[in-house]
Amino acid sequence: MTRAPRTDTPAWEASDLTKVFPGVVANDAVNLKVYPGEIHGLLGENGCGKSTLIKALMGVHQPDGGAILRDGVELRIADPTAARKAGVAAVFQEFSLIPTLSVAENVHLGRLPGSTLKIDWAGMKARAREVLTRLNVEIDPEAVVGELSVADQQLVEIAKAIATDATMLILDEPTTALGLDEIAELHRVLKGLKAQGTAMVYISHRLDEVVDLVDCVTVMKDGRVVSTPEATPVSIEAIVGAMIGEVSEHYPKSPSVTQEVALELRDVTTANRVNGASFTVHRGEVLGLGGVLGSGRTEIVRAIFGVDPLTGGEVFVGGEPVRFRSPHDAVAAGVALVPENRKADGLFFNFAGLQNISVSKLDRLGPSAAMSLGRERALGRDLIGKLEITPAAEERLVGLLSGGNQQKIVIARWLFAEARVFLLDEPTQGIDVGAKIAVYRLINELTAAGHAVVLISSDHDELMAISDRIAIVRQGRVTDIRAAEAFEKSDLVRASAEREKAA
Amino acid sequence: MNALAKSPIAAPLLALLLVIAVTAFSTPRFLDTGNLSNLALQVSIVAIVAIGSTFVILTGGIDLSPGSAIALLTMVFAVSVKFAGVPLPVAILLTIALGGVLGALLGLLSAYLRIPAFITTLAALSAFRGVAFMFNNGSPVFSVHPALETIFYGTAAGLPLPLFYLVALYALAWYVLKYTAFGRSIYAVGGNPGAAALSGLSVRRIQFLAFVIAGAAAGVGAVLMAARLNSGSPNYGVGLELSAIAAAVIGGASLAGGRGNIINTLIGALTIVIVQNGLNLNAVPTSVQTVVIGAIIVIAVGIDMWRNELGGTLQRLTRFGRTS
Repeated sequence: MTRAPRTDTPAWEASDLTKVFPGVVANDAVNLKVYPGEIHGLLGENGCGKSTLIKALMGVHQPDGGAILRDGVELRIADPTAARKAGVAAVFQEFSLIPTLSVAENVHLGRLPGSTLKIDWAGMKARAREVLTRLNVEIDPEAVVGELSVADQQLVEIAKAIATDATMLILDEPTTALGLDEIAELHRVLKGLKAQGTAMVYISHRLDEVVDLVDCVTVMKDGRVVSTPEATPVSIEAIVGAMIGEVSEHYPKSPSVTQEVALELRDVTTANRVNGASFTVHRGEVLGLGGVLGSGRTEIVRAIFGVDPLTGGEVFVGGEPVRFRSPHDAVAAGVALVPENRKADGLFFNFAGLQNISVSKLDRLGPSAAMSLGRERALGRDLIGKLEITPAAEERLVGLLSGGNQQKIVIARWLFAEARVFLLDEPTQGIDVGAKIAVYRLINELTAAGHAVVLISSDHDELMAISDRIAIVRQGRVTDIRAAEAFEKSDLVRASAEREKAA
Repeated sequence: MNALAKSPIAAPLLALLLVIAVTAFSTPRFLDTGNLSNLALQVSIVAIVAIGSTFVILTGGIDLSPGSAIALLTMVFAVSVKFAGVPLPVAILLTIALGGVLGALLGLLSAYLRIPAFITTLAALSAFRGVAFMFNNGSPVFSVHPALETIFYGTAAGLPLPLFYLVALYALAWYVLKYTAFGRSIYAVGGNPGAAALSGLSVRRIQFLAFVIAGAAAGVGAVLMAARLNSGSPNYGVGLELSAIAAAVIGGASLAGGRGNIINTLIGALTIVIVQNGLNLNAVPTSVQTVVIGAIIVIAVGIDMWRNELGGTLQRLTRFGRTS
């Protein structure tokens, strides 16, 4: 389904927008038409220029050529304040909420009603309730934001954005931190806004949810629009095709399962949501963990890795019983964890890529009182090459690298540490399609080398395509474990839905 | 030249050269050999204590205690040598070791019992000096040992001895931070303690050891302080912790942890001491001097904050950029 050509006036339009940075044309005569009541997917790999485009719409950048039109009239947006006044609102992956303030206060942040000396609390609460009602969500305006779930915080973020009477809402990766049922809730809210006539630009790396939600798609590559809404059917194949041009390789998978047990859990229980989990993973195997956010998947890998102490049950690595008192012990035993939140828990932003790679096993650099920095460089460079990480990672601080490169660096760390059991928690979250495919290939290489992989993913297609077997986790234990081929996508969706019935 | 401009040493070094130029220009006596060797003596204690402060700051902690620890340690040192007859070399080693023990106590409280370092070391700032007053009825101990002053005022090859201690300890600290697994771990823990733990580093042990090092550095400072005036006093070292922290921060260490380097701390210590020296040579009253030092600390910490802010903005922008 493509968008039929339209002759009416878009609510917002970027017309031949051009933006040049030293050495790169970030936007080259880009056209984007967003109509009232339309959710417009803006897609492309990292660095394709979509950020530059929305920054121009938000007044962060001034374009070097072309124009921005609102209701067909050319408009100059001098800065973000002017953009907000003109009716542009944006919601980003990183929240702009103050966790210690109430929902109502956050919604009105920066423009609290009332006089300078006295805030109109009642009016503020009423207005916040009005906005939340408009979104059709049940959140108490008096609740403290920090105590809400991530999903509810995301909705408050949207409430805050639309409270300014925006005519265009830009959503940049709003689902990164959300589970499936929460994404469904977000989609419901956005569809409600759409019915009220708000124009939306939607950016996400999770193509499965994008195609569920959006009305049309613009695909960008190298600063240009490579596929217009009129030419792009809203389907994963078409979008991936336009983005990278190799659809068949979307989920490369080469099985290498052996019969040798690498990791076994018997009735593992912790004080943190793990409640009698049992499974085995073989060398060369990818075991996928399916289930909703909060089902205990992340907590199971935390237990294996020695983060949460076991209150019951046993863990065996390579057939030997182990009892890790801390991740230190787990790392020494060849177990690796790639955490869900790589920014908060994975990366050292004061280090370049090289030091991020070597940090888990500095022993490999010689005696601990005389590390060989030359050896660090040689080994690190080797991994950077093997994993096709940008060569700049060697010297550059990791904060300046792309999400895909960052994720590969965290995985490279565990290859450097010579780990044999890899626990990957949402390893492709928030990275672009090209980088995702690189991560899948990396998983193939891990299993080909005889390593065992436990994969947690909220992307059902990915989970089914990359796993050899899938274990469904519910309330901290494995309730079903089968070969991946034996699962239908609907089984996984149902596994997500059943929690709500129980609750 | 370009590499030097980009290096983290550039800004503090430039500031130092500026301070030197201004002082030398306005005060010709500044460049006298006598004054320069006096300067070396003055900088030695602050700079050595600042090594410890830098280690703690790099792990993301803070140590407000070394000034008071030095008062306590000079008293223990002086009493044990003068009244208990402990041989000088033994007393020196014991004082440095006791400094390490005081650091271990703070490390235990901050790293293992997880009471914020600001609180534990603020408490120690008060308590250590209190303990210092419990020795010798709270009176200073004078004329500790006839050979003691040689440690501070002796020379080798025409250069003051403290210069050699300084260079040796800085070389050691530089080596530890650059070429040992422990040094690398200090940066990792300060940069992201959560990621450090998940990477298998023993975060608390590393934080603990940073405090032990800071305590031992204060111990060395105490021996030099005692040698300088051949005495021990519960009033020594007042405000020294601020100079030491300021040295690290002027040198570009981030109070958020993970960023900074030891050579820059030395540059920072030199900057402070030269400013003090210049003010002294121009007979600026002590009251004004303390205000100037206060202003320098504020400016230095301000620069640290702004730099973080700039860095944060940069990070936000790049995060933003990455989603495209």
